[in-house]
Amino acid sequence: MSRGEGKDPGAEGRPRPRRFGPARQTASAIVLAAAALLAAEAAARVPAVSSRLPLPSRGIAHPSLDLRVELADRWARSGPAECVILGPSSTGAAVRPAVISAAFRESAGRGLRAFDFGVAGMALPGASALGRVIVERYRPGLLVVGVFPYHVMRNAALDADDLILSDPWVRQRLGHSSLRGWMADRLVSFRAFLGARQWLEKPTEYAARARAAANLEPTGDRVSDAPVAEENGAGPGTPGPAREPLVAAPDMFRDFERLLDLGSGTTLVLVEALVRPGSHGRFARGGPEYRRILDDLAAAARRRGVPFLRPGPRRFGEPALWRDRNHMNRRGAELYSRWLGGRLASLVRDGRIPDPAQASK
Amino acid sequence: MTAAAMGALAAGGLVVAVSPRLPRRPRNLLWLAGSYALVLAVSPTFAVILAAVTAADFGLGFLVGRSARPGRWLAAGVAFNVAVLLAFKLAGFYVREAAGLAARLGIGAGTGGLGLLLPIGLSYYVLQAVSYLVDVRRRQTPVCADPADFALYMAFLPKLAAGPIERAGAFLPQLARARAPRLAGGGGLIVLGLFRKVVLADPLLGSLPAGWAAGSAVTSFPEAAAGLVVFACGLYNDFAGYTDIARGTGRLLGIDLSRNFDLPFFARTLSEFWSRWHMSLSSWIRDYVYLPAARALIRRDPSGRSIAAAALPPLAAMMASGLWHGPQARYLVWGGLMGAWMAGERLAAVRRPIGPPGAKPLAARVASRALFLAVVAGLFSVFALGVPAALRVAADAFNPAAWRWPGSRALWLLVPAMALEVAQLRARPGLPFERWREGPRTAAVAAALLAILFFSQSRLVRPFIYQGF
Repeated sequence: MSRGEGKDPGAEGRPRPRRFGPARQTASAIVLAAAALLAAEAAARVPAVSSRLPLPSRGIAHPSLDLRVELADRWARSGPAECVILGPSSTGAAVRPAVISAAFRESAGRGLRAFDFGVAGMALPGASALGRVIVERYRPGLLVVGVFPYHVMRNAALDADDLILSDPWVRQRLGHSSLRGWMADRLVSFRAFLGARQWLEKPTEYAARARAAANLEPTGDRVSDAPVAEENGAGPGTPGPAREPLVAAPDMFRDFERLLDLGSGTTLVLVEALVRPGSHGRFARGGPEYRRILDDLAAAARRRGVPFLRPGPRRFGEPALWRDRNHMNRRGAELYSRWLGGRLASLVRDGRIPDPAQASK
Repeated sequence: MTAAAMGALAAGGLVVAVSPRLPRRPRNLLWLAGSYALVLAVSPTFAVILAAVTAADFGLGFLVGRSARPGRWLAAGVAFNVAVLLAFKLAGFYVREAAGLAARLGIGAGTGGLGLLLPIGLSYYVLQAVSYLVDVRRRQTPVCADPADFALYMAFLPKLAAGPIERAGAFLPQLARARAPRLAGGGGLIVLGLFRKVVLADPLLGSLPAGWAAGSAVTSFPEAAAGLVVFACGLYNDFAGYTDIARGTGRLLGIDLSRNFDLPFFARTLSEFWSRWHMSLSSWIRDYVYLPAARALIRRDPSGRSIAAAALPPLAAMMASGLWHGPQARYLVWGGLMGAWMAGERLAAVRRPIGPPGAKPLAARVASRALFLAVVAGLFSVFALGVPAALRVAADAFNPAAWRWPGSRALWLLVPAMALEVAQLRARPGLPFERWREGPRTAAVAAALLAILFFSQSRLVRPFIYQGF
């Protein structure tokens, strides 16, 4: 590296290698590094190579979001992005894109290509940010967002937003550039490297992520009724068990208003993210208060012309439809998805929203 | 990379570019301002503490060097610096302990806003100040008459946070003369340091399970042994990486900083290990603790063969080293055990000096090497895990039925780490790859740059461990 450093008496008499100036050597090394990066990038984009690489990652600290983004990218590349369903894990667990498509076909005469973008522990600021990312990245014809009263309660333990909002990749997509965000967004080789680094350093976490990935369909649907925690690793959770009473936060209604501003070519529809009826004990006045807050949210949406779909309190109340207090099982998800697909088709048929197939073209 | 980091990098580049063109005094003032700007950015309080210690030691230096009672002023100066160091180390420790106890009792008192964090670089610049005062007293270095030069000696940015601990006699004369920056040597050291830190140390240390250092995640002897190897290699590359970056930055400015590491894992004895690991601290302890203690004992027993003469100096030196790392029991026990072992080595050496490697049969050499490694691992387990966990692991070593083998793949990272050490051994005392032909060398630098880019952007870079001491 340097001239005249580290004199080695034993080296005398041997021909010394030719020395170049530091500027030229640095420039050569940078050019060579850039060439190697380009070669690695080209190789990582070859399917035969990428299929042998570790599960790629954007390094998002929220494991389930990291997986969903990767899946959503593949899903969007393989066909028109007609509908993305975003919401907390209770929405993710209740959504089965294939069933929604079938129900939509029954009413509209054709299917709806949908993706389940459920992210555990996501509150409204996170939903608003990810909604903007989804709209800007995939240009879906229809964005359905799952919302529930926990979203406007201060201590609901929806704790994923810090991870979402501070993530360099998310921030990059929202216009706050950084080198890491850019690399995670643009370089396939870097995403493969991130996966490899997790494989090397955190084999247990990598194995959990690989198991979770294997449990997801290309549409984000779950193959089996594995606990949501499996996909989520040791990450954030959904509304916790009943302890202290929930406190309403008026400022969080402003987050809700921001969510309604998504727009820009994508139709927004809100849908109630269901939790098991009868598990509203943390609300000061129980179920009535829960429904009152839902009414407020629906009214705010209506004022902005955004449809808010609500299945009614008793439609999915049967305990056999629930895996736990926040998540439906596959049978419940099938019923819920059939209902949601039918309602979306009705909105299109009635002309209340444009046809997602047309809007996504 | 954040905007602040990019700004700091640009400012650093500007300082490197401008420095050779400036006369001595404006250049030194520029460096001093840059050093204090960084400390101020971290904490204005830390800057005030640094300035206060600097001013006090600058004045004490005059009193030691030019007053009629230099011994008293030296004692006062050493007491002052040691008191500052202990005040922050002990007070910070006890305040945190008290807050922890209060939290466990449910009182939730917190630290009461005392905020007794160890000021940045305090453990290092205080030792520099002591060495300056002692060297002035010994007439090994002249009294520094220029307050800006002395302040720069204390605060020179590349070495401020975690050393190397410089001697005034080696550092101050460099400020007086203009030297051309050595871009290639400096840049090479910085790349090597970043590689050690970002590509080797961070992944190695990051692979250890949460709670490992507290000892709570260590359950089985093989897991602990593998973890210790990973931790030792990670710690070494973390600190050696920091030192390389510091020395490289110094070279860019035309300043030579001391070496801190000389292939410590190739040492044959613990004493040799300590002459190769954190060399600037080891030599400080040797010159200001070990040798004075040994001289005092030899004055009492000129033969130098008594047990006290052999045992006490290493014991005192290693206890001082343990205390410097922190007032926690693990460091004090570690220092005591290490001092005891080194005393044993010294007693053995007095009776039968160590010969060249070929003088002993192979089996004896292997056995001696294995024993040495076991001792290093044992001592390291106390340092890394704490006394209770180290005892638990030691007990588990004799219970193979309960062993659980480590599942971590991070041990693979030891391969490039060891390859780098071998390359360093072959290039000693220069840089690895230094004597390679240009093509392979450029390829190695390119690969290192690419690896640094990917590793540094893939996870938050951990703070340097030795900044915390």
